[in-house]
Amino acid sequence: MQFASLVYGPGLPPSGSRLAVRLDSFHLTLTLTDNRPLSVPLTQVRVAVGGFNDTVWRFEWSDAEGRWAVTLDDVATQQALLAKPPAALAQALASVGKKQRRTRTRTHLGIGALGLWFALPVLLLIALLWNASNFTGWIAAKVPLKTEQKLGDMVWKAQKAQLRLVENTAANEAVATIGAKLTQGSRYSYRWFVARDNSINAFAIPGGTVVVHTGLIEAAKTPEELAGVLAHEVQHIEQRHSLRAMAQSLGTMAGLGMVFGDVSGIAQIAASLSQLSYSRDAEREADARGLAVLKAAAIDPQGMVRMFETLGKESEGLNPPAMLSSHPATAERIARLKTAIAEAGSWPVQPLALDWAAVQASVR
Amino acid sequence: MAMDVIDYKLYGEDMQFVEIELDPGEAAIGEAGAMMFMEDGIAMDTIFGDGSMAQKSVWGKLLGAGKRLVTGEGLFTTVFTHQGPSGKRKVAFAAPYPGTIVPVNLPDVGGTLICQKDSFLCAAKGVSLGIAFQRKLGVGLFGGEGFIMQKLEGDGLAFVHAGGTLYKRDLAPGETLRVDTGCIVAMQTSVSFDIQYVGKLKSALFSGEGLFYAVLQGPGTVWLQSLPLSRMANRIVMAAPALGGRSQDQGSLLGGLATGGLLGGMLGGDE
Repeated sequence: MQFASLVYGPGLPPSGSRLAVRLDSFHLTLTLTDNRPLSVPLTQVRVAVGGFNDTVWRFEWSDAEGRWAVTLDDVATQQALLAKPPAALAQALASVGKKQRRTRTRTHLGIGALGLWFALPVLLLIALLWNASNFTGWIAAKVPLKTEQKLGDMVWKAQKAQLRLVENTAANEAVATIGAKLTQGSRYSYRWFVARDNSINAFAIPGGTVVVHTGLIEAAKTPEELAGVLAHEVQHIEQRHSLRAMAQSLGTMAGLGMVFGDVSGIAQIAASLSQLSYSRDAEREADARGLAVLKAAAIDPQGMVRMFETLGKESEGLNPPAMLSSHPATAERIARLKTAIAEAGSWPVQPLALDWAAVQASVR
Repeated sequence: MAMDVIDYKLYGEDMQFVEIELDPGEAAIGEAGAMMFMEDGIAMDTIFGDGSMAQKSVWGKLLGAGKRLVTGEGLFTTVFTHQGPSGKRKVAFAAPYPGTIVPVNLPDVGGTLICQKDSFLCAAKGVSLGIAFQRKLGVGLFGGEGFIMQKLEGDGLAFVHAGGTLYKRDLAPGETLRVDTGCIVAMQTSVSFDIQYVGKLKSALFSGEGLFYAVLQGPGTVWLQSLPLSRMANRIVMAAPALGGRSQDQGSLLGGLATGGLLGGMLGGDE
């Protein structure tokens, strides 16, 4: 076996000299620069592994002049030597190869451990966000009813100042009547309000406050359509969607902050995006559960579908991209609702006994 | 690939620059921003990567550039080529902070040199800049040089720069040298680089040398720096009143003891 490698020794340059090295079964032979051969019996040669990253093999021996070292860093030559070692060095070479393998394994393990250490918080965060709705549900369930009502009162006080409430009309009565049908057996005590506002909208405040805009009453052709919207809003309260949204947004911010440090800007964007996605999920849940309530109250679900269709016409061309919207696209909601109705099968329907024309006239 | 043989001259004592003389057609690569001056006839070109292999694919170039980024160099290298028909032209590269420039002729060290991240200054065109990833976890964490070091390969001349005075030390086979972590600038690949616990808790805590030494074992040549930049930066920050520091070295014993107080401020202050 012959190779050229850096040799260090007495009389050679301190940074080594590239010389031809020959290894046979019994001797290691160098050809020094002045063509003088230097031969050492292999029995005197010690093999060690070293160099940067343990990539270099050293054949070392001492003579009267001093210490010598032949360094071999070429991987191909190392492999060839391992495959066919000179008998006298077989054992030493095998242990050197083993040591190198051990170093490599240790490196991989170490890098793996380091990688895991850094990836762990991120993985935890992902797992947390993945199961966010479970966690937020659990947290929201821990909030006592009283706290929720207090929170709702605070929000309501702030909102009330901006609303022009309509009181003591047939519409108030109608909303309360339909609402009572939809909230039988609820742990919340509901308050129903009608506000003068031409937009087709209604909203719910935690703790049991529901506000209906007069625009909605005017746009609804039958009391069943109003019932559909109320059933949806009531479910926002029953499922504590506001509390869960708060938990979600605070949790996302805190989690991101803990993992990535102070990234308030990005965290806010991420939190509001996740909140929007949460909000879309919440709307879907409210739709589905609202439908179930309609069924329990024996109200025709077609009213809900028609109301969504009216809403869809109203907001035509104004739909933001799904990711940036707080509500799912109306077409999607209607399709979903129709499938759900078909799945639930038809149920006995009791028409709501209200003089709808009079109700509408009372808010005009 | 044939390397360009370049002549050079170092100027200055501890704030050095190197002046490289190029023959027609010869080129040198420099760290982005290191050029100090260049004469007529020398054209500067910025290339992506290190210019050692011009025919590399786009992907290969990207990879090379990524490696350079990891080792603390810029994404781009500047190539200075003497395009004139005849005569010698000069281009100079200056060190970015007080320290010394060492020329290393790569063939003399076996073709490969491992050096501290960010220490490359300039080289003959054809020298390739790669990374040497420290595979020993302990050395990477506590060896003072981190996990990423620079690998210069080729058969030309390369210039390496580091802080303070650079000391070239030849280690005989088996000879070991214990070095303060952070002081290693460059070494041959045959040198073993490891760490060693200082040995006593008392020393670890109070000697000021930290928990570990770096241990270098021969055979091979190593280059050490007397003053790592971070150490100097530390001292400067400590001494900068604007940053809330105050040099303790110049204060008297009293001043040193009572630096915080009014009296200490008067005694120790040198403003």
